[in-house]
This record gives sequence, C-alpha cells and structure tokens, in this order.
Amino acid sequence: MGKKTKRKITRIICLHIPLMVFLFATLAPFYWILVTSLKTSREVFAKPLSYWPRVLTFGNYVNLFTNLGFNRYFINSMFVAVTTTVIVSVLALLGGYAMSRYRFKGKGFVYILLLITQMFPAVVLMIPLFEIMNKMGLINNLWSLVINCSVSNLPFCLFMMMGYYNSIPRSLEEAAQVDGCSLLKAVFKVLLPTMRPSIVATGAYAFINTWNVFVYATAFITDRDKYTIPLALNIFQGEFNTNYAGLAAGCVIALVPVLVIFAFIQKHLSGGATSGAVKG
Amino acid sequence: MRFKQTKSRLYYKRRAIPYLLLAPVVLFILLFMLWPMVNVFVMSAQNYQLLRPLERDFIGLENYITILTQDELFIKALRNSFVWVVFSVIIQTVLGFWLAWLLNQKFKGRGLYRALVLSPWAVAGVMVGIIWNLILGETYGVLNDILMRLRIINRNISWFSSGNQAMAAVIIANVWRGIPFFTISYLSALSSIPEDVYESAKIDGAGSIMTLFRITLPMIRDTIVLTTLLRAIWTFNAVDLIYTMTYGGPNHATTTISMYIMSTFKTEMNYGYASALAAIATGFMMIFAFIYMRAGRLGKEEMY
Amino acid sequence: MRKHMATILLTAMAGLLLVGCAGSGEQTGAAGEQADVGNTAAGEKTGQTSGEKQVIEFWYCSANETSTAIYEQLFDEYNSISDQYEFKLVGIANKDAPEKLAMAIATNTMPDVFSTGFYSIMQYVTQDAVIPVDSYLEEWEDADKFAPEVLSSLRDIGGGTLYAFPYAYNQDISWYNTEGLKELGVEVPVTQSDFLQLCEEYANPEEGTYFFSLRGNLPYDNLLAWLFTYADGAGYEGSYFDENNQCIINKPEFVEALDAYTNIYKNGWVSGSCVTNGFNEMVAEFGAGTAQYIMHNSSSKAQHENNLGEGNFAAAKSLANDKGLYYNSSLQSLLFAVSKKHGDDGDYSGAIEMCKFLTSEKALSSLCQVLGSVPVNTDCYKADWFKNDPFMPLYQEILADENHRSIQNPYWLPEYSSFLQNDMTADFQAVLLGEMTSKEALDRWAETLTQYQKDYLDQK
Repeated sequence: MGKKTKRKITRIICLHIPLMVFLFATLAPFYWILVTSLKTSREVFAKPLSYWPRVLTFGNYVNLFTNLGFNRYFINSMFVAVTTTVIVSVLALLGGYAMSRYRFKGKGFVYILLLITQMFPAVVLMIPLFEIMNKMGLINNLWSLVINCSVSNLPFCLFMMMGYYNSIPRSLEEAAQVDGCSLLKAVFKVLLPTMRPSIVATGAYAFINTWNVFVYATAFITDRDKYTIPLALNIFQGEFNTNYAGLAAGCVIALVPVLVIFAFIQKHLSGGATSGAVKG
Repeated sequence: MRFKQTKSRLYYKRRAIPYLLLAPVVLFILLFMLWPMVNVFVMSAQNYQLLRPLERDFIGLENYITILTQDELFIKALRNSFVWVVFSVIIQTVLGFWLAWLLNQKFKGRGLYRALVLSPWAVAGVMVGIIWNLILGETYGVLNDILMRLRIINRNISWFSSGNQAMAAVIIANVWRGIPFFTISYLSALSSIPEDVYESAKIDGAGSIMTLFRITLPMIRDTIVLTTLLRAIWTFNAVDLIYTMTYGGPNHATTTISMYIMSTFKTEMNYGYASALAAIATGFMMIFAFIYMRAGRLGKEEMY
Repeated sequence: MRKHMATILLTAMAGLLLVGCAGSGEQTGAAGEQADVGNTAAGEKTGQTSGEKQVIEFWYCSANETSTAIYEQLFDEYNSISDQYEFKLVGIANKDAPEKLAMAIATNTMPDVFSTGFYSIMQYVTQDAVIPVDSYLEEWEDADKFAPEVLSSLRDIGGGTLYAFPYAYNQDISWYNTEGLKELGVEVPVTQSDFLQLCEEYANPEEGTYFFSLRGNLPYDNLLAWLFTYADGAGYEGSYFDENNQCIINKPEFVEALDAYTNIYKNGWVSGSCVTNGFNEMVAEFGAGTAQYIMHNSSSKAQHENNLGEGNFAAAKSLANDKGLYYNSSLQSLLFAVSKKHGDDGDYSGAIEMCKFLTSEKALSSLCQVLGSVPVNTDCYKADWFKNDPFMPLYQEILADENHRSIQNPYWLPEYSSFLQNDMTADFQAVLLGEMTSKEALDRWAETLTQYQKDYLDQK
C-alpha cells in the first residue's frame, strides 16, 4: 500500500503540479487578451481593474468583420501561410534527407549558407529585396510574401529535418532493405512514418512563423485588399491613439486557426513509432 | 553483364541525389538572400545616408572602423545583446525541456493540455509586447493589481524604472513567448527515442535521473545544440518585442545590436552605417556559431 | 532510381500546380480593387487610366478605421462628379508609413500625394522627393483662407519655401481629468509652481496614484515648452541659434529648468516607469486615472474619449511661468505633400487638384472633427461644429493670447527628428536616472544642434 501511494504522490508532485503551474503561467496573459477584447475601450484602463468585463462587448469582433473586412485578411494570411508551409516542408524534407544521409562535396557549404541566412538582420535586407520583388513585378502581390517567408523559414526547417533524420538510426532503412525493399520503398514505408511527428513539427513551425510575420509585409503590400492579418492589426495603432480592445479582438481571431492546428497536430507530436522496428 | 551496367548507372545516379535534392533550396536562397546580402555589403562600404544624398560616396572600411573604435553605443548594445540572448535562451531551454519531458508522459487530457500550453507561440510578436505592457504596467498593469490585492506587495513594482529591470521585463516576455518552440522541438525529439532504450535501462537498474542525464539527453544532443543555436540567433535578431515594450530605453539599456541596427536604418536613415553594423553582427554570430557547434560536436553523433 | 526521379518530378509538378491555382484564385478573389493590380509593378505609372480618368493616388499615412471611412466617402463623392480625375485612397498605418515611403522613394514608385507632418517634411525635401508648392498656392482662389500663422511657420521650416500644403495643426495643450480633480478638490494648475506643488502633494506611491505622468520616451515638444517657459526664453529671439549660430539650449537658465522638471521624477512624484513611458504608456496612465494631468497636444483627444469618456476630461493651456507667459512649440502642422514623381518639369495638375479638394472646408470639417486637430482653412472656424466643439475655441484663443509665445524648433534640420528620437530621449532618460547631469545633457544637445545647423547652412 505504501509504495503505491508513494508513487502516486510522487506523480502528483513531479507531474501534475508543474503542469498546472505551466498552464497557469501560459494562459494567464491569454485570459487577459480575451478579457480585453470583450471590454469597451473605456473599460480597458478603468480603475479598479475589472477581471471580467462589466459590460460584455462583442462590438470589437463585429467591427473587425464589418468595418474592416477581416475575412479578406484571414484568407490572405491563410494563402500565404499554407503555400509557404507546403513549399518549405517539401524542400526541407528532401534537403534534410540529403544532408543527413549523404556525404558529399559541398555539404559544408550548404551548412554555412543555411546558417548565414538566419543570422542576417532582416531590416537591412529590405531595400535590395524590395528591388528584386519590384523587378519581378511582385510588389503588392502575396507571392512576394510567400517567397520571403519560404526563404526565411527554409534553413531552419531543413536543419530541423536533418536533426530528426539524424536521430533515427540508419539501421532502420538498412534493416528494411535487408528485408527486400528498394531504397525508395524503405524511405517511404519505414522512415517517413517514423518521421511523422518531425514533419508535423516542421510544418507547424513554418505555418506559425508565416502566419505572424510582417517584417517585409509592410514594404511589399500596399493595397488594403491584400493585407495579411498582422498588417491589418497595425491599423489599430494609429499615430495618436491605440485601440487596445480592437487589437485584442484582432489578436484573438488571429489565434483561432493556429490553436486549431495545434489541437490537430499535437497528436502527432509524439509517436515513439520506432519501438520494436529494429530487431535486436 | 547487365548487373554490372545497372550498378554503375546506379552509382552515378546515387551520387547525384543529394545535389538534386538540395538544388531548389540552394537556388532559392542564393537568389533571395545572398544577392541582397551582397548588396548590403556594398552599401556598408559607402557613406550612404538618405539625409545627405550629396555626400554619398565610396568610403571603404571607414564605417567599420568607426563602429569598432569610436562607437560607445555599439559596445553597450553588444553587452545588452549578450545578456538578452544568454538569459532568454538558457531559461527557455531549461523550462522548455522540462515542459517537453512532462508532456511526454501519459496523463489524462494530455491532448488538450498540449494544445493550450503551446499557444504563446501563436501570438504575433508585437501583440506579445503590448499584452505584457498591459500586464507589467506599473500603475495600470494586471500583475501589480493582483499582487496588491493579495497583499503580497504594498507598493507597485515598477518594471521599467531602471535599465536592469527593463531588461528583466523584456526577457520575461520573451521567455513566455519562446518556451513553446523549444517544447515542440524537444517533444518530437524525445518521442523518437525508442521505448526499448528506456526498457533496457530500467532492466539494467538505472533510476530516472540517471536515465535522464546519461541516456535521454545525449540521444537528443543534436536537437538540443541545433535548437539552442538557432534560437539564440533568432533571439539576437528579434526587435519587435523590445521595441514595443521599452523602445530600447531607458537610456539604451535595452538597446540590443539588432535594435541599434534598426534605429540607425529607420530613424537616422544612415544606410551605410547600418549595413556595416549588420555585417559585423553577422560576423560575430558566425564565429559564435562555429565555436558552439564545435563544442556541441554537432553531427558527429554515433547512434549505435 | 527512375522512381526516385519520378518522385522529385511529381513533387515539383505539384508545386507548380499549386502556383498556378493559387495565382489565378488570388486574382479572381481580389474584390473591389482594380483588376490589374496583381500584375503591374509597384505603384501606378503616371497617366494610367481606368476608363478615361486619370488616377491620382493618395497615401494617407495615419490611417485608422474612422479616418479611412471619411476619406473614402469624400473620394466617392468627388469621383462621381469628376470627369477628369479619379482619386484613389491608400490608407497606411502610421507605424508602417516611414518604411513604405522610404521604399517608394528608393524605387521610384511614389504616390501622387501623401500625408506627412512638419516633423518629417524636410527629410523628404533633402531626398528630393517633393515639389515646392508656392507657385501653385498663389493661383488658388482660396489661398487666403489658409491660416497665415501656419503658412509662415511652414515657410520658416522650409527655409522660405513652402514644400507642402498644410491642412491641420496640433496645438500643444495639457489634458486633465475633470472628475479626478473634482474629487481631489483642486483646480487645474495654471502656473508651473502651482503644478509642482500639486505634484508633490498628490504623489501617492502606496496607492500607485499620482498627479502627473511624465513622458520619458520622446519628450520633445512638451519638454522644450517647459524649459522655455521656466527659463522665460533666456533671451530667445525667435531662433534656437544666436548670432554666432551657437545653440542656446545649454544656457544656465535652461539647466535650472531641466533640473526642476527632472526632479519631478527623481523625487518620486510620478511613477517609476515614467522614464520609459512613451506616448501610449503616458496616455494609459491618464486613462487609468492614476495620473490626473498630462502634457501633450490636441491630437490625443480621440484617445482620451475612448479611455475616459466624453466630458470626463478637459484641455487647459500649457503651464505658465510666474510672469504669466507660456511657451509652446510652434504650430505643428499636418501636411499634404506632392511627390516629385514626374521630375522637375512634370505636370502635377492632378495632384494639385487633389490637394485643393482635400483642404477645402468640407473635407477638413469632416476630418478634423474626428482628429481633434485644428483645421487650417479659416472657413471652418465659422462652422457650427467648430464653435460647439469643447476645445477648438480654446485653441483659437491661445493663438491670439498675448501671453503666448511660440518656439520655432529647428525642424528645418533633416536630422532633427532622429536627434529627438535617439539622442534627446536617451540623454533625458539618463538625467532622470541620475546617470547624467542636466548640464551635461544640455551641453551635448547644444553641441549636436550647433553642428547640424552649421552643416545645414553650409549646404545652402
């Protein structure tokens, strides 16, 4: 009896309590965003601070869609994010495999190339990039964002994939080949399923980063019609006033798809599918 | 005969594979990153100030020399960057790993929990700054309000009244935002460790802490090194949060190198100087990355 | 291995397919905008016609929902009447504007007209991005409706030339919380000494409430107003720079003034975070009721309405010194600038037409009611909305007040804006934190400004 209870208590202390603390620390600011979005502008700063709106206001949300046309921005953001995710995932999948499983001349070069692109402060690159996009006729076109986001996320995603490939022993494919598969079949049937959580994580990373990006969006997109959500949120910060409640509402709306994706993929984040796959 | 032919064809095709796989990636990056970067280098060797268009001229390394020898703010910013990156990344790594380890266990409601706890990552950078302003604000912030009501403090905590406190505030916000990222990386790495490894460790009599340090961590070492490195680089370059919360103040106490570059570029409009700063910053990062990767023995890991 | 190649090809094809689908889908989805936007290079070229009208593009660089709605309505009305021109509005958030304009200048994709302010017009002039508009203004029948003080102040900045059309201006003003002061049982302070007394009396760190909220980040105009008022100008004769072109800002009277101001912070009469307070944070403290009095200008009216509600706050003249004189930064005008996209000898009639329209009484009335800035068109002063507005008459009064003095801040120096944001802010914060003395700070400012002025004069 003693041992079982002891184990249970250990579990509570080591597992459940930290989980609760993390949850609280993570969600508290969200709660505040949510609550702010449901207040009127007046109530945002009214003292004493109200932890639940005294006057529950959905006006901020309504405003987003009726006056500001948020559904348009939503679609734009979706387009950019999804396209980028697909491009990056595919390229990272292929490239990561090459970097992990092969030794070839120029591997070091690629490594350095990928690293450098991460290091360069984005802000100074803006002008030359703008000129390139201009020459390609892509200013005011969402594809400029797709290209930029792909390029910025590609190095990291490739590294991620490479790391994941590395942590799966080569013996996995080799074992499959011994059992009679060609290399390609081995990759598809055995390696990729094991990589599923990694692919999911990489894709999620690309999606979320793109969803929230606006470093170049400001420079490349002029027409309101083509705004992505972060750009649209800037409208709430005027020169002489900031509409906190509106911003909060916009932020909540922007969160929804990401949270949905999280809910979807978290299942795939841990697979542990390699157990028993390698004999011995 | 046929067998031999197939083999040599196979051989060349095999050799070509990695290049083929990487070609689109490399091309993409060369065109959209490297070419602009070359441009930036060219700009850095010019006295390119938008507000003095008549003086635009090639001046060689003068910008670089000024930065490295005369610029006090550069030194200050360098120090700030160091503090900003080191503290952010270390705290995020430790907490992120802890959370990943917790999430790797089985418990009820794990799915929902995971989705929720990863959510700070989903918030736009500027919004993170704004929301933490609303939380940490001295007289209008939630944190102070709660602490005062609970009588834990009897005077408001002022987060922005000194350089150190301001830095602490932005680091807190950054950690909040950054943990999910580490968690996801570690979680997928942790979960790809086969169960049998743990089983055999248990059979051999290893306690959980020993398992952690001797088996788990080394197995995901590559992931750890890479994640922390890239995250460090990313943190180094991040400006949105700091800008929204402190504008780089007070008195440049939270002005990191990347903030300095941004303000030189956007406010002073001294493109030449900003480009030189960016080049120097990149140089530093490359050296650091090289040393770090060597120390972490990246890629030399042998599994079995 | 053929299979492997096949996989790669398939992936590439899928990618291309996606490109094609998404591209066309995106175009058909572009609702309500001109259909060729997706294909043309950035910015419309001159003379691009939609139907037969010439398109004049206007970038409004402080866009928010209300102002966008107003402009769109105005443009709709104009476009339905006009045969010659079609006005197009592009609203840009204030945060993004400098970047967008910089890009546009760098790549020659400027709009026809854009909105800016007196604080940055000289930057655009230096980059040769705008045209002087004196000659055009002279031809307008309504030219005399422009408030003369605004025009002369603008001409000063431009070194004698008018580089943009003013349409409104912001007046330095103090805002106070009427309910809050009533509760405390005090009147709004008129002189600086009254003010300092109230700051001391009502500073309550235990509760976290104070009388004042100090702006530490970008203190510019209000700080300078304080300095000059306290020092009673210190021999100011209309220019920051004396006969030898030395900046006068570091005279001992100013040092004393700066000490008086920074002591407010050092004595703890305001919240500790004031040193990092930017505009948003200062207004937040005011809105939360933890500060009863702030110094800003007329443009924050809308924000206060949002935070405190109409009628709960009011405007007061800036603090005066013991002689009753008060100094304000000279008229902070908002401008419509015409970009130089057609070169020195181009035809700008379309752009000029737009500016004429936008500075008409009707347009300005709709806009300024919301903005809180004072319109430049004197016809507006006769309108009912102006007379009934709680604050507009006060602004008018200030201009005519004989106790009012105007400081001509050296905005003609292109680097002045950057100086305010970087050097002045950092040094001011250093003084607040005790890391620098007032004298050191002012000496540095004087030195820098003297140098800039010298460069400016050399260039002329």
